Amino acid sequence: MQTPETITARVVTPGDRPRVLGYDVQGDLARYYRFPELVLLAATGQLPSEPLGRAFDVALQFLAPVSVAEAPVHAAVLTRLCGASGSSVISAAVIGLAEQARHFINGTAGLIAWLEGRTQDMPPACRSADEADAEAVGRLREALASTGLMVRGLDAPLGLGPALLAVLHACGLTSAEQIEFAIVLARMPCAVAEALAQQPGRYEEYPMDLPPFHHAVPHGR
Amino acid sequence: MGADLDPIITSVAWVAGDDYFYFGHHVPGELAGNESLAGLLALAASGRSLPPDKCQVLDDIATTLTVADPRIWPLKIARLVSSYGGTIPAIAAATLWMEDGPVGFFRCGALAQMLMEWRAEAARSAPDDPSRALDGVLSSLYAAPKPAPPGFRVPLRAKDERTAVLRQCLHRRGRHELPWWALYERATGILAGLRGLEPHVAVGVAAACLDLDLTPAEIAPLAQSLVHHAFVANAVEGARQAPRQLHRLPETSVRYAGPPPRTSPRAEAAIVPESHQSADSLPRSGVAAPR
Repeated sequence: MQTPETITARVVTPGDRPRVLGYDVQGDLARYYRFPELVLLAATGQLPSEPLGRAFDVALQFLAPVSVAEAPVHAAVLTRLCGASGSSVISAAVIGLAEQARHFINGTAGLIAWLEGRTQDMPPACRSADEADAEAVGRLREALASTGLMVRGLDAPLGLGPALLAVLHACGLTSAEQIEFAIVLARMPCAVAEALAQQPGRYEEYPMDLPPFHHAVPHGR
Repeated sequence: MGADLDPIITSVAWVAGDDYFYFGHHVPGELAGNESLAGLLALAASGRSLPPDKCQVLDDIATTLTVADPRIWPLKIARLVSSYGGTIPAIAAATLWMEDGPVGFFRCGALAQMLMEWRAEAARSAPDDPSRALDGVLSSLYAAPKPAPPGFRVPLRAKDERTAVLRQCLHRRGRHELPWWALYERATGILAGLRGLEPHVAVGVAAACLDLDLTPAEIAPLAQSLVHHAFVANAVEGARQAPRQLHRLPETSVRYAGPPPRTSPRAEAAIVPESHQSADSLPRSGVAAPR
């Protein structure tokens, strides 16, 4: 079978003067744009406006805190406890975060269609869960107020997770993969930091029965 | 067009038309129906075929090491990641630590190297009777307060129960008197008497694999692959159950030990004290100054 002699690049021009979608990183983007804006460029193909870039920054920060109570960080902490190097800890964290992001997107099925006006009703699963959740969305609205960006759906009683998805969508991230990628990127720093703070080998400090497992002998044994 | 690149030489496998080869063996004609999984893993790690009796020792090792309790730390990783419904990502995440973790079976290679160094040192000390010299070698290397040798720490329990199981398997196959297992038994007895140390089963696995004429570099990936099924089992059940209680533990389960709540300098600078507000402004304290 005849195959090409070259591998295709579509986003980054390789070499000593790299470009992202044609823009010179070192001489242009690094001087006039912030990192979240480079991320949006890479993800959407478009350089964002100032309001869009600031709103994306706000969304990333709201997404960032992920604690050891959550499965991806718990898994990364255990990886470190088992003595893994930094690169293995980072890899474990990213895998867990990607799984969490995928699961979250699946749980908001119908939200993107509603945001895009293709359906009438907000998905019930995206409604805010309680007062604390609604207050968090209020703080998100306050943080976004100075950006001037209008976020479709943010005036509806969304929970914080779906509200943040609405902001990402307004920033141009319209596919599940794009949104998953943004969630993982946002959460990586806190997840990795928490895991690297774990001392390797301190097994006696880890609560093995959290949560509890009970054994059931399989049928037929 | 395309740089002049040096080709990468591989002995692992090749596909040529409808034929496919694995370490030089024609898969359909030689391996299919004749080779075992253990044999394929041995080929993967060493590039050499092992005869069936040696492959059965690998089966014994794999079975002995089948401690797949999901509460055990690396298997818990598989449970946590698979709780979102995915199997393969969970297996990948749960096995990453083995590359350089101080416990775990990838370390069997380094432990095999350690056994070889003990024997070499004993042979240097007493070329005519190295077995008698082993006591002196281990005493000089590991007598307190020097650090214990690698592989002689069993987390959270006094003894590694798998060691006795492995011993039983090797006895059954008449392999308990082979040179490396014999050295392992003498060494662990010496270290138990010297400092009350107990070996992790990985040391015994290293010895058993050296008696299969495997090198340390071959033993590391092979021993690690022999525990893969424990991760598969937990990832499969974990993905099927997808238990929500693993997604987020209750806050009462977490003890926070970081810095206390505090305000950033920029937030402090942005808060306008009441005394600095104009008469026209709303009578609220701590109002953030407009940007």
